[in-house]
Amino acid sequence: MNHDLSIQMKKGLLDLCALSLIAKKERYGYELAELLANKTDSSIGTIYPILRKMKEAGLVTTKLSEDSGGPPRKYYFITDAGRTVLQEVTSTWIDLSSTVNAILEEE
Amino acid sequence: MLVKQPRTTQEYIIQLTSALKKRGIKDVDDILADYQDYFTQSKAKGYSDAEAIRRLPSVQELAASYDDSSEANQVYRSKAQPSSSQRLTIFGATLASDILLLPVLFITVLLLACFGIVGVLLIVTGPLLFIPDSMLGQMDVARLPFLQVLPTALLFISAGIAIVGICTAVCERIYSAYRASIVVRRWLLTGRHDDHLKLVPRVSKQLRTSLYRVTLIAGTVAVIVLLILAVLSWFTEGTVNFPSTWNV
Repeated sequence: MNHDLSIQMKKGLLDLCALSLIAKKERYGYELAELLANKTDSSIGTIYPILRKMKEAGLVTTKLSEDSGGPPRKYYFITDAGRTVLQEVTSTWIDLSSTVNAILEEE
Repeated sequence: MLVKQPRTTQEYIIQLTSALKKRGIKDVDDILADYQDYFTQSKAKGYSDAEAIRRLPSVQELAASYDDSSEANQVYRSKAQPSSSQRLTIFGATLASDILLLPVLFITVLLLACFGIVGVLLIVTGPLLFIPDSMLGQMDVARLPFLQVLPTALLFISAGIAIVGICTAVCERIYSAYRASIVVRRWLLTGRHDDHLKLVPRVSKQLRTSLYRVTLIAGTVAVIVLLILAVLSWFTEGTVNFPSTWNV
């Protein structure tokens, strides 16, 4: 159960982390997946479905870019809607994390 | 039925294709392109096929994570798609605000345009003070020594730029707010967000920052010159009589 709980927590927060990274700078798919997987100790395969869902929801958009000497790469950009959602979810996370910390620290 | 674990990236892609199609998932080619790219990049970074495959979930788990019919994958869908009644309500509200606000916005923009014209006239007037043959060259202020005409001209030009800048900035904010309302309406009609509305271009952040910067600098210069002239006039009444030089 401990392992399931950790996985469920990570699943919810990966979206926030992905959106936050894209908001800071447009990212290439593999670069983003590897960065997130390393930072959050998640499977790299869990990132691509998250990116697809965010794109379908209009939070991010993609653009193919021809880098020299290679096939076109898919870059992810955040949209206005994505920025709005990021702001809301970040605010929720800040409130939630301080509440949870307070509960954990209670004797 | 037990599915043989893929040993090569090609086998993984073939199994993933089959698993995605069995679940009726759309845009399979787009999804596969991501993993083709993943395997290419992994190989470029020195990972073997087995290592690259190990870093991914099983084919079945991965296909399940793309399954939109699964409740766990509904997070964004429920938030991003408004219901029909929500759409109707918000559309009605935006239409009502248009009917009430548009005349006010029109009058505001018209007033701003008038002020903007005053600003442009000031910018044009400044240099004309130095030309004796021009209409403004006949003004009292233009007959003063060069060093006294210069601050007046500078005041005109900087004040003019500041006024034009302020009017443009306010118009830009009104435009951006109205553009945002168009984005919301598009979302209501199509259920999608589109940041690249070509028909209604977006004002870039750089342009906005440059505009604010120029306005601030021009405004500051105008205020400083005005203060200097006022102080000079006060201290040297009869020699540099700034207020009376406005009497044409």
